[in-house]
Amino acid sequence: MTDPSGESNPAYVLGHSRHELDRLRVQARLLEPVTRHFFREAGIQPGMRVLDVGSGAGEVAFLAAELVGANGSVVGCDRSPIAVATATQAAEQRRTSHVDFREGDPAEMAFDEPFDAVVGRYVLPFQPDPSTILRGLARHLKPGGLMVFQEPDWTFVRSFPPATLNDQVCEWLTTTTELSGQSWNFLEQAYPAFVGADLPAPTVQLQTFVGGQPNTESG
Amino acid sequence: MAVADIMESLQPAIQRLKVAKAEEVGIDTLRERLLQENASGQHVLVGRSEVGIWTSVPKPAENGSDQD
Repeated sequence: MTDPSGESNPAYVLGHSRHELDRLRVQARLLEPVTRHFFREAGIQPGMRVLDVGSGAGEVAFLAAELVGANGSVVGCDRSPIAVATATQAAEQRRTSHVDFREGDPAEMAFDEPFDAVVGRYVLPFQPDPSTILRGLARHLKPGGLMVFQEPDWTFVRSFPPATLNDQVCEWLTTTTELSGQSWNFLEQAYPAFVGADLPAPTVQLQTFVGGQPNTESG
Repeated sequence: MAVADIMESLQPAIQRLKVAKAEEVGIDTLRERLLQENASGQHVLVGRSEVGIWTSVPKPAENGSDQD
């Protein structure tokens, strides 16, 4: 969820603390099956060259690297130097050679070769104008290339019977993100963001975490 | 718990935007209180949703048609 605008955007509501990067790693394990599903549905395939936007701790890039295989490659970009250093270290520990992390805003960067796909997770709600970054990213795609994003939506959060503290915490979270101008309710923005970037009408799918036990993503 | 971890990262913004006072949130004990609330297993918690959005840019011969 690391913001591509990184440390140049002091208003980024979640910050870039070590705690936040650690939280992203835990979150990545919970989100991985959903991201994998979306990527496969979208058409991420072996051999592809993929650009990961707002790569954070690198987890989405590593998933993409697995899907594209050794004949493919992944470039992860983040404007936070802490995030890039963390992801690079993780790549070294994984001995993953076909993933490379670079510091910068990929919507404005130049690359030697175009990409078969641009992917990102938890990126667009943190942009002042999601269509602007999508338009910038589309420049890097080959003809027929894929633009794939996964974003959050808290519209349907609730509990039965009401879990009072859980509901209060979720209300604090959504109120804070709304007031910060970085709403986590991206469902209603998804379609217009893509069409507003002059991209073809997107496929939009929703998956919701539902649980009844502690330590689930839903709680 | 996911929401407890998010609350910790969001703490500065929650205070800055005056959404809740620090003593209301009680971040040091929040995780334990959330676990206690859900320990009975009687609550069904509908968590956040994940929105998947994708499209493919046109190939030159497709004249901008949607491939989805």
